[in-house]
Amino acid sequence: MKQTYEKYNCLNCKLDYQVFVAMRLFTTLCVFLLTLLIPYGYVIAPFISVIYFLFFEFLFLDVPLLRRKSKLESEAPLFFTIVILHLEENKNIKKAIESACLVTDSYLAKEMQKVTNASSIGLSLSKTMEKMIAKCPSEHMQRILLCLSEEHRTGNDLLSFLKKEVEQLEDKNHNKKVRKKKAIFYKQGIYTLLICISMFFLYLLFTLF
Amino acid sequence: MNFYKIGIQLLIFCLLFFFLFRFLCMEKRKKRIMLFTLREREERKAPKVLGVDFISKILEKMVIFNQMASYYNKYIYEDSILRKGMDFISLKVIGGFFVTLLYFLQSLIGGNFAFEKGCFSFLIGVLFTDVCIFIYNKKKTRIEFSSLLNSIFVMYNSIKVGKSIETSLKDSIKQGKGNTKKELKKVLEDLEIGLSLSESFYHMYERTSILFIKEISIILRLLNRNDINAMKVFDILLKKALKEQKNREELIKLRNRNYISALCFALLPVGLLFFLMVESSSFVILMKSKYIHLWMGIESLLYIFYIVLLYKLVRSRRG
Repeated sequence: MKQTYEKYNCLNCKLDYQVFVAMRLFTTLCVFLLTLLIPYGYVIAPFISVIYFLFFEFLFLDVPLLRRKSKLESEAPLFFTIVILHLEENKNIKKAIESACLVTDSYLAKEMQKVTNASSIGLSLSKTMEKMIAKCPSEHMQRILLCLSEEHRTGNDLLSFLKKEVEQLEDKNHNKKVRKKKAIFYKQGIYTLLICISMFFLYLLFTLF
Repeated sequence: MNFYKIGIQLLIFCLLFFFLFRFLCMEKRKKRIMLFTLREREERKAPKVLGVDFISKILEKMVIFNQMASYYNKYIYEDSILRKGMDFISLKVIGGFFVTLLYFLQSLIGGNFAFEKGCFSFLIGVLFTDVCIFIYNKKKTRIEFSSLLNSIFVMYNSIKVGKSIETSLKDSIKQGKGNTKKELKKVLEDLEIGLSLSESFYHMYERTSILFIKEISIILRLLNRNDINAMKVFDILLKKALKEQKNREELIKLRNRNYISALCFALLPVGLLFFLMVESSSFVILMKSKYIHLWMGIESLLYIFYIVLLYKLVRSRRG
């Protein structure tokens, strides 16, 4: 349950966690009752409801989380490059983030805007940053944000570490692209096999007529 | 069936009548308003060879076509024959009429003219011209990344010397080649109008749809802020471009490999069918049956779907 709560927290969803859990339980119960109505339902119902219970989490938590992670990671290198540029020009972290938000105008920028907005209300930047770290699904991003908050807290120069992390993130994005390109070959093979089988069965069907 | 045919014909006639009516109304209104307006601006005219100019003049009077023409404005180039977005619409119309004429000639020989088929062939002609325009545009906007990298390097160097952004852009245009040079010229034109560098690069991204150019435009937004040094911005740009070039080379290799494999895979189903034709005795029975056309139709549709799928898989967004 703790893992699910952490995942849910990362999603940045407006719906309350308890409502989500209640919905999950209620719909599972509905599925259980519905499957009881079909023949041999008393045997199948427990299995189907367990599968549904697990699938619900996958569909409504894991998939959006992956999407959010990839979106944030793809936008992060550019955003943090601009932040680093501002830090190199001796600007403070809050101003650097604000400026990067203004310049990039992306999904990540909107997320980071919340951090600066919260700090402008009166909260400390390191605290709001901690909250953001808890909401961030990517490990690299978490490290970068932690680095920024530590720099803000202690005042040490951690720019070289930040640069390395951003470079790693860029490499990771590139590797993802390469992996996708490599997987195309296997996809082509599967499609060809499916088409050949369907063509052959069509031929058999028409010769029978 | 006959009732259905008459219905379609009536619908097409109604549409034609509606367009004619709107056209006449607009013409009347235009004549009335023209008395109180300034003279029309003279524009560069399209060639009269295919009657493009003549059709454009007629179509310009219709609001719907004007809206459609605005979409084609991005296809206008300095050296292209067509000068306005409307010229593309007229070219499409001419393409449609050409295919309809071909169908008409064929039906004259065969003696089986059908009105619906004529309309359908007109649509095919229009779509075919659209596809041709799209391919032409892709060819025109294809930018070699290495030349773009060179241009960025020249700009960086000029700024390092102390020149202004506009002068550095002019320098990069001098050094540039092919389509990159043309695109950078357009960027310079945008700058001269009064747009910022990032905005003009964003327009370049819209024309070429290369994602890296979008990144350039985002980074160049920093130039609008006074607190950032232009040299540092271009330094970052150059570093990013160099890394992108390295990554791109690797991706292009993989993409070429995928193209070759797709070509080989595309031939496999054809080979299977050929094998069935030669080896299987039941193929003769199928050839004699009345369902042969249906079978061929479904098989060819399946194959077209498969080819499109393969193409979509291999083709990647210009990143």
